[in-house]
Amino acid sequence: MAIVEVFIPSVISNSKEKARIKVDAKDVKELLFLLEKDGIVERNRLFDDSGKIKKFLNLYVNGKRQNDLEIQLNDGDEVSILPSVAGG
Amino acid sequence: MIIGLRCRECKKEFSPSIRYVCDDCFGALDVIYDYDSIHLTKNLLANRENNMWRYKELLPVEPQDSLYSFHSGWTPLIKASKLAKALGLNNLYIKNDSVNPTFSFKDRPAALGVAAALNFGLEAVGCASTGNLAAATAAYAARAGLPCYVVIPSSIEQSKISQAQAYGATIIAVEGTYDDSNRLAAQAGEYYNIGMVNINLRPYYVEGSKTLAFEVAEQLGWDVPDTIVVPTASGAMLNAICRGFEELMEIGFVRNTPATIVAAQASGCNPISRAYKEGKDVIMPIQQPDTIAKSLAIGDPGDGIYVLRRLRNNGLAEDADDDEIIEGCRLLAQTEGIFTEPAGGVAIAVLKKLVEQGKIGKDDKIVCYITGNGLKAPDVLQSILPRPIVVKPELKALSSILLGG
Ligand SMILES: Cc1ncc(COP(=O)(O)O)c(C=O)c1O
Ligand SMILES: [Zn+2]
Repeated sequence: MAIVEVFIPSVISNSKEKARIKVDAKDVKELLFLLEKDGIVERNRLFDDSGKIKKFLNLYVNGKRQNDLEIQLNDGDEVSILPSVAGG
Repeated sequence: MIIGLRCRECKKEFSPSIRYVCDDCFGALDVIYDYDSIHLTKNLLANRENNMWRYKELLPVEPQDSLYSFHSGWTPLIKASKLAKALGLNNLYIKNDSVNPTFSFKDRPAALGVAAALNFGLEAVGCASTGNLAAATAAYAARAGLPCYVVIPSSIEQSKISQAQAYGATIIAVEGTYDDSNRLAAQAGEYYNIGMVNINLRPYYVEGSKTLAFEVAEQLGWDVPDTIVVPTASGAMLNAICRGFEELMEIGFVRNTPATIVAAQASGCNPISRAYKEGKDVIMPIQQPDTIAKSLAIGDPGDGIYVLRRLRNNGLAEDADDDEIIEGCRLLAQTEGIFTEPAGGVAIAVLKKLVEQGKIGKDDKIVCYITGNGLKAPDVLQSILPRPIVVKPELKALSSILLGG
């Protein structure tokens, strides 16, 4: 198990409020499961029908984009889910 | 005149607010206008001041006095006969946007972003930047009296950092790429309630770059170029310029839009031109951009897919390597007296390549957008320029240097 800090912007969260919370999870999959269980963000907000993360969303672990939900988490990791912002 | 915001993907509409992605599909939002209620005429324009705000009916926010009085935009459109000759062209113009108040085209979107921030009552602004937007946002923030926080990759040119700092901005230099900076700025905007002009104020911000199309058409006597060449990173400016021409058609000011849109990229960061040339319909991000055109070093271009669609319809893309970029800067300076930063060299180099490849007609009316000033990256030409000749202060020392000595 690992205590990680999660950032969820308001446009994604159920409450329409941004969230910054600590969660105890061993990998991203479990983390997302816990976030749904706690009513913070629903899975169908994040994933398309084929189970892939939505086209305009990105998931980052310590600033690195991740698509692999099995990825192991370590204590102190920072996880964020963000709309792919049109930069520049 | 503005109705609201609309999702580019699923078309869901929203009232004007601080919002930049759709809450259903997370697609980008664009400002929508009620064109029927716009009563702009060419005569009305003839009596307005020469700055970007003359097109206020086609912009989403009106400027506050502190912003209006900066007189951004209305930069020269120059008939570039000597450069045209060097490239084998007959009808070439340079839109010299390097002479804006903060010396790049970024004055245009930054002005709209800061105006929107003031309208929404935000108490701080900022941006993620490859350099030029940092300085622009900082200057408009100074005029508006707002604190400014800019997030940049730590590798950008010192002169751009100094410029932004001179205007009083706080610089956050990220050990990472532009894409890292952009993500961090997005989070900072949300968690610290900062109006990040190119992120959470993006729908308003991008509208500023439409004036690059309005001005060119008006300066050509309400005509439209056959071909435009646009240095491209995120693709936001290219997209906005195209929409600008489309809007002029919508309100009946011109009869067509440019036949050929050229996206000019650096070879060391070419996600759009690579996808175009490889015939792909998706953009593969460049993980580690490596180019002297640092202002174009955006590996994961937000508007890339929309630019690609436009190019597939009526456009071209090409990229230029560091040597070609430097040569482009040199050529522009030595034929037209315009000193541009590498982004401008990219535009010239790509134009040159496409002419050589026979993809641009020599009689086309071409407008090449030069978007940044050479003084922002003065060192890049050093590798090809001779060292100054050092002499004693004696006339005889000049005899071997000056003609007819
Ligand atoms: C001088 C200059 N030209 C062109 C661009 C490309 O603009 P965009 O990201 O909208 O494609 C930039 C972006 O920062 C720039 O600074
Ligand atoms: Zn949508």
